[in-house]
This record gives sequence, C-alpha cells and structure tokens, in this order.
Amino acid sequence: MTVTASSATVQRAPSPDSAPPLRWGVLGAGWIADIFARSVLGHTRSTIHAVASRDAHRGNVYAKRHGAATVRSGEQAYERLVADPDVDAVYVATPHALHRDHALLAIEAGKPVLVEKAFTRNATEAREVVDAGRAAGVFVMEAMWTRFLPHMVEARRLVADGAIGRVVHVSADFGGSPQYDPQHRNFNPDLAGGALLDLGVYPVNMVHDFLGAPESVRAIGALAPTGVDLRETVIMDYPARRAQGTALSTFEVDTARLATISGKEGRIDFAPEYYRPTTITLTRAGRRQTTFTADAPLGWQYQVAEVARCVRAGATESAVMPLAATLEVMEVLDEARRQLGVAYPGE
Amino acid sequence: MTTPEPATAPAIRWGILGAGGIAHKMADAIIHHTASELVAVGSRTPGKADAFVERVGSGRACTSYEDVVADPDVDAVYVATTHNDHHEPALLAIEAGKHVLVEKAFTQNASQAKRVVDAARAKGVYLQEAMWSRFLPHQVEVRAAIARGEIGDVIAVQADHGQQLTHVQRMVRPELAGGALLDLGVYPLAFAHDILGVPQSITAVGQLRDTGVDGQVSMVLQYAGAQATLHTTMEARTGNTAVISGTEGRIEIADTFYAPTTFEVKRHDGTSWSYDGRIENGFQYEAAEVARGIAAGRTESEVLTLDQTLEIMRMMDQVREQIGLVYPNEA
Repeated sequence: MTVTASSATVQRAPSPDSAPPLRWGVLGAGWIADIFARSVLGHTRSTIHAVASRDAHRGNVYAKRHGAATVRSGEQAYERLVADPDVDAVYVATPHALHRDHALLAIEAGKPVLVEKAFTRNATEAREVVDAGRAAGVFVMEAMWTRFLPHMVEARRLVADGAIGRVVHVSADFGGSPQYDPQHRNFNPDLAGGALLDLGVYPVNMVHDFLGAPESVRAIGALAPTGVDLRETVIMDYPARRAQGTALSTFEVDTARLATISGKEGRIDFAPEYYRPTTITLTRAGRRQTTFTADAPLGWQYQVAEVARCVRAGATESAVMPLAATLEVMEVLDEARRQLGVAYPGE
Repeated sequence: MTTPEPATAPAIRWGILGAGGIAHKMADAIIHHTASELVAVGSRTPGKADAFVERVGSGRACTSYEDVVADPDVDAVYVATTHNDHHEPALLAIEAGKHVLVEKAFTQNASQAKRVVDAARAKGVYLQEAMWSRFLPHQVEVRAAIARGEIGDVIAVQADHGQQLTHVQRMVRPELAGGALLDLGVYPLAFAHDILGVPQSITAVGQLRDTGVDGQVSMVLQYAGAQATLHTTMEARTGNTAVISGTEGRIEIADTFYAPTTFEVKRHDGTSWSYDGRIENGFQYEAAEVARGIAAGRTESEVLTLDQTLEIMRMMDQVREQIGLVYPNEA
C-alpha cells in the first residue's frame, strides 16, 4: 500500500500483513469468495484451509486456485467444513438468503465468523445471528470491508477531529448494470435479490458510518418484474442532529459511485469508487486542504486482518463494524424494503 | 452546437429593481458582456441605489420601483429583490408595459407565478424567469449530448446545492421567504426538470429551522423509468455537482453545476469527452436571451418557457407542502 498525504498528521492504518494468521474456511465458492481468497493470500499471513460448495467441481477449482487443503461438497458440506478443527474462522460467501443459516452453523461449531454483506435478508435474521454469537461467546462480524480501508479510517479521523465541523449531509451512490436475469441471485426473490441488499448496502453504510442510525427513513424506487427492487433512493433523516443522508442504488446503470460528507465548516469528497481503496479530499473554506490516497490492491485484507486481530485478542465483535451497527443498517434496509414493497418468500 | 455569443444580441436598455449582490452581478454582466446598457436601478433602502450606481458606473439611481418602471428609457426590467417581493414588482413592471426578467425563485409560490404570467400574457410583454443555468453554454451542451443519445436513456439524475448561509438574513427570515429551497433548492429542482421534465411524484424530507424556514431538504422525483435524487441545504457547502446516468453512459457536471463549469461525458463503450464551459459571470446568457426574444417579437423564451416556470413553481409548492414550509403572508 502507498499512502500519500499532504498532512503530516496522517495515521497509517496498521498493515494487514502484520495481523496474526488464521486458517480460513470459506462457505461458497463464487466470485466474491474468490476476491476474498486473493486478498487473504496476497496481502495477509492467513491461509484458505477449506472450502465448501454445493458444486464439487467449483469447490475443487477454488481449492486448487487458492491452495485449500480441504474441499467439502455434497451432503453436509457446510456442516463438515465448520466442524473441521483446522479451520480457525469461517467466511460466509453464499447468497444473502443463506447467510443466517450458514452463520449459525459456524457459531454452533464455535467458529469465529465473517458474514458477507448484506449480513442477512432482514433485521430479524440478523438479530438471531447476533444473539447466537453473543450467547456462544463467538466472534461475529459483517464483511463491510469498506469500513476498514485506510481512506475510511482517515475520513473518520478527520470528522472526529472536527475538520469539517458538524456533519450536515452525507451522500453516496452505487449503481451497477448487471444483465437482467430472473434466475440470477441479483433478481431472484428466493435468493434475496434486489439492488438494495446487493449495492444499496454500501451507500446506506456510508451514511450510517458518519451519522449512525436515522430517526426515520424514506425510500422511493422502482421494482424489477421479479418483484425485487431495481432502484431506490433512501433518505435517512436525523432531525435531532440537523443532518440528512441520501443513498442511491440501482441495477439499471453504472452511476458515478461518489460519496461526499458535508459539514458546517468543510467537506470530504471521496473519489470514485468510495467503497474500495481510493482518494479523499478535504475542503475547508473553499480551499482544498488535504488529499489522502489509499492505493491498496483489492482491499479486503483490511477486514481479514481485523477479524484476525479481534479473534486473537479474544474480542467477540469489531469496534469498527460493531454488531449494533450491522443491526441498525439491517433495520434501515428493512424499512426501505417495506416502503418499496419488497418482501422475500417466507418473510 | 454552439451557444450564440451574448455580446452579439441586440442592445436593450435595462432597469433593475433591487440593489443587492445579485443585482450587482447582473449589472456587471450587462455592462461588460452584452451590447445592452443599464439605465436605471431602484432600491427602497435610502442611499442603496446611489451607492450601486456609483459602484457600477452606470444608470440612474431611483428610490422607488415606480420611478424605474415609469422611465421611458427602460426597455426591460430585471427583478432582483428578495423572493417575497418578486411578484409585486414584476406586476408593476408589466403594467407599465415593460419586458421583465424575474430572479429565481420566480415567486414565492405557484399562484403568485400564475398571476405574473397571466398579466404578462394579457399585456403582451416579454417575461422570463432568471434561471441563468439553462442558458449557459455547458448546460446547452449537456442537453445536446443527451438529445444526440450519447448516454442512452436517462435513468438517474443527482444534483445538490448547499451553501453555508445561516448568517444571511434573507435566508433565515420567513417574512423574506427565506429557506434553502427557494434560494438554493430551486437549482437542483430546475435541473431535474430541464433533463426529465415534470415528475409523476415528488417525495421531500425537510428540516425546518427555529425561524420556520427550511434548513435542508432531500427530494426524490419519480418518473416513468427514471428518478432524480436531489438535496439542498443552507447549513453546509456541499459538493454542488450533478450527475446524469444513462443506459449508455453518464454526464458528470463539476462543481458548481449550475454556474459556468466543466462536464465530462463517460460512455460505457469506453469513450469519453469533456467540455469546458467556464466563462466570466454567466448572467449575460439569460440577459441576451431576453434581448433576442424582444427583438424577435416573442413574449417568452423557447429555452425556458413560462409554462415550464409554472411547472417548476408547482414542484416547489409540492415540496413545501410536504415539509410544512408556510410563509407568514400565506397563512
């Protein structure tokens, strides 16, 4: 990672490769599990010990590519992976609809677990997982990797230090343009599809990171033919703090993927794409003051290192992405979906 | 496509009502960037018109609006008073048979706007809202790029306008029709209207200040197959950018999107181009539009019609209704 900043006060985020090593077990062998493995292997001291996939071929390909010693597939694949004594921590990279069950499996087996975002389909499922983790004394964390990136650490430091004064408004957007396919997890209600859970979770998290849980939520959008959400603006209102957040997400078009935090005395602009390693600029009184660039490859290694440090320290949750924050974000997503009219089968 | 040079527009003689910052900016535009001249300026505040005339070096100082609109040397009147005081001076100028350019927000509400528009149509004089952004070269190019299909179908529009202006009296005082929406929010709303037209529905979430005017408002405008996400605040200087995302690319308009600025077209096929529309001042384009319209015998602009101004005012009314923004003279 290279860090460049015109300010002398920059505190570097600790290097991910200085975190203790963990032997990871991965549930799911899709593209997101692939990015995870490349981050782990390329930028931490941890390893991929095991992978579980419904599809034996996919599991084998994944294991071969990432040097996993064990492949679990077929009957009880996930159960057998979490029971493996050589697995130190479990990463849940299956579709949203399966997150709860797979996280609970890991917790029951006493394994620290990192759950891909969106954490679960809804806040009720999220509370089940959080409660189970707390009851078992097992580490649980949502894989909101953005929160751990050096430029985010720096942005939070600037805001906490009063560099922009009281935060008035946070805006963020994430629009992508996956091809419409009713069967694909993006559009399939059975797999908890929709732009909000897949992409909107990022801008909603940005607002939450700087303003916390909103007093009220307004969501306006449009639905896909399958009934999942295609597009939405989520307005997060904080009248007591005199602040607002606007989060836009869509599956229709690639948006600019920008974020801005505006305060009474200044502003932090995030270059595209704010959710991965990028550049932030602090502007005060109309003048650019500081630019901070976190030019790290991939970026997921920071959350992987967070898990390793927390687990080794005996913590059961992360202070950067606490479980309360995960629940609050899930509650925002729930309320937004309720207003949009999106319900998943069985909810 | 090029925007005609303001300096080549026919010369007309301007009178200005109000002598604040925006009147100064218009005086500078008229004097330095058009062939027109400033012949009179009126302010009810003693001494203000004199100081104005001395500073800009042009025109006759008047202590009443009546004096300006009665001046036979004045062809057109620019109404640059506070929002609460737009419709009466505009009606005064129309009755006097003058052509009128009214600062945005056009009036305090749509019913005032309708009265002004009806009066101008009955009198046969030229009337235009001073939404200067629509006439700026970069905005003309943005519309042209969309019309050429460069970004495909527009799906999402995002725009925000925030300034830290809580210390400014006209912003915070309800009797002056203060608040973020009328002064600042009119820009993102008019921008969305320029790109997508009148929405099917508007959702607004606002926060009122202790004086009863709005401190900030988030707005979502819904269209068939598209959506605009807008925000305004008087409590912080926000990014003041605008992005139009389409099925084949997007247009990113740089800070400050409503003033002379640059934009970039980024297409999904990997091609991109940019346009630098930065020029001095910028008010000269709307002033030139008025001069050309009058010379051509028109009574309204084709770029910003009076029906469009009424549409924008009705959108503002809808937002105000949702956020509970009521001015004292409307109660």
